[in-house]
This record gives sequence, structure tokens and C-alpha cells, in this order.
Amino acid sequence: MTCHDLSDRMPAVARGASAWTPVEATHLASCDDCRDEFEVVQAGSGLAAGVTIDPDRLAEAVLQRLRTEPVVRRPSRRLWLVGLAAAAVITLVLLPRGAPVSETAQSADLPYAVHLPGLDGLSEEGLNEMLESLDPSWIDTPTIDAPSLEDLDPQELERVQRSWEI
Amino acid sequence: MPTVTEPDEPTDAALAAAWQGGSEQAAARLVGRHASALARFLGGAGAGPSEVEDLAQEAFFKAFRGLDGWRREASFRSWLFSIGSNLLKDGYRKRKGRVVLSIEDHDMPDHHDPASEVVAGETAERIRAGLPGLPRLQREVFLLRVQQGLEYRDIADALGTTTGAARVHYHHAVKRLKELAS
Repeated sequence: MTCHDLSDRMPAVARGASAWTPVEATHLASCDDCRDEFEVVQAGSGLAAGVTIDPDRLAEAVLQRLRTEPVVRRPSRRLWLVGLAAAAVITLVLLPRGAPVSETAQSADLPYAVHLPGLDGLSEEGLNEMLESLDPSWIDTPTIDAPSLEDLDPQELERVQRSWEI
Repeated sequence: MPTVTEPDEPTDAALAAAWQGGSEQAAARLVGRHASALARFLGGAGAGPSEVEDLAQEAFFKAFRGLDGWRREASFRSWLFSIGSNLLKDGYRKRKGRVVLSIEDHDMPDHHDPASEVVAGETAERIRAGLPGLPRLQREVFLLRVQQGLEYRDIADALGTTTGAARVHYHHAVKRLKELAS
């Protein structure tokens, strides 16, 4: 029995949905930290216990609104994307073009471009054959490890969370 | 999940489908099943007594209008809480971050030991006073866990975060509240 195990059980016991086992009760009696936590959880479980609402009246009010308020259809996300794509195409077509830029200069501007002279001589068919010969799992493998929130330690996570808070 | 349905009771998903098929009675049953829990969550998270009913009504209205957006792998109640949480967030923005928690005698948990009743009352008072000072996600994760008894997975669904992050939010909240209560 660890403090972590007991912590996970506290909400259910505080709400009366479960009871301590003898082992858990023994741990609680001997651990100040767990007792302090359980006190907080008990107090939290009783918060707003007196807030009541009349479900019948609420249901009637909701149904009344559903009957009378018109359904507002918002443009879907897909429609927004189509609009954005169209705007991008129009911008590219209408953008005044400057002096032609050589292919080498273009690829030098791209931070991740890799020049592979060995592929220059291949026809389209040859390129396709080479692509098909690659292990498909390579294509799906991300080249950069994308960090997730799970990878952060509590301090880092808290900093990220604070930056999200308003 | 806290919603326990009897074997012959229709599930939330069945009631939702019936509402989509035109049954107002099914919608009313869903309201009856979840209204109290939603009201307590809203009240605990900072909605004033006069706001709770309006917010609950808005949450159910949005839920019924947007049932197509309910991913059935999350419970209806988690989804309803996510709508309630967003409504609170909107209200919180409008009030520029001020959260008001009502202090009512009937919020006190029931205790039979007079000595522990005094201590518990003081702790509850400090927690009520300290809860508005927590970041929103910490506050809501704490309430969904201890007040509603949701599992971390359901909390993550409700608040649009990950299970691991919900667990971390909870432990930060408990740590801060323990400091306040001591």
C-alpha cells in the first residue's frame, strides 16, 4: 500500500461510493500526508452540495428553446479550408513574379532541402520505382520526435499550463 | 462513470438517439439524469447561484443541438461537462478572470463527530476560498475528480486534455489546497 494507491481511492471513499479496506485504513492512520490529502478531498467532495436544480423545469425550458429557436448552421471547417486554399491559389497566380531563380538557389533557400545528384538522371518511371522499393514504414516515421505533454516533468508541464491560462 | 443505469433503463446513447428521432421525452429523461451533477459542477467551479440554472439550460440546449458532435466513446455526462466548462470559460473571460464562489452553510459535508466537524468546516471554508485562485484546469479537474467521481480518462475527455495532464493538474490542485488548508 502506497500513498499513491490511497490517493487514487480517496474520491470514491469521500463520496461514499466505497469504503477503506483494513490495509488502507491502517496506512491512513499512520500517514499524516495522506490524512491531510483526504481532508482536502472530503471537503472538495462536499462543495456545492446544496446547489439544486429542478430537472422538470429545466427540461421544459430546454425543450421550449429547442422548439422555438431556429437552427443556425455555421460554415463547416471544410468550407473554410476550401476558401483558404482558393485564396492561396489566387494570390499565387496574381503575385508579380521577379527574376527567375535557379533551381540550385531555390533549394539553397529551403532549410530542409537535400540535394541528391544521383537522382537527377532518373526518369519519372525510375523515380517511381525507387520510391516503391522503399520500406513503407520509413515514410510514416516522423523525422523529428514530436514531444508530447506526457514527456514533460511536472515543473515544465505547469509552465506550459500557466501559459495556457488566461 | 458515475451514471449508473438499471438493466432495463435505456442508456444515454439510446436516449440521445431517441431524441434525434424526435422524442422529447427522451431529451427530458437525459436532463433529469444529469441536471443535478451538472449544476453541482457549475456551482463548485464558480457559477453564482443565479447563473447555475442559466448555464445548465444553455449546456443542455447546446448538447441537444450538437449531438452529432458527441463522440460516443466519451460518456454523455463527460461531454455535457465539457460544454459546461466551455461556458464557464467564456463567462470567466467576460469577467476578466474573476471567479465568485458562493459560500453557503449547506455546502458543508455531513459529519457526526462534533470535533472533526469543526475541523472539516474550517478546511471546507479554506478550500472554497482557495479554489478560485487555482488555474481553471486545476480547479475543474479537482472538482470533476472529487465532487463528480470521474476517472482521469473521462476528465481528459471533458476538458480536452490528456489523461496524464489531468492527473498532473489534479495533483497540483491537491498540493495547493493542502497548503491552504494547513
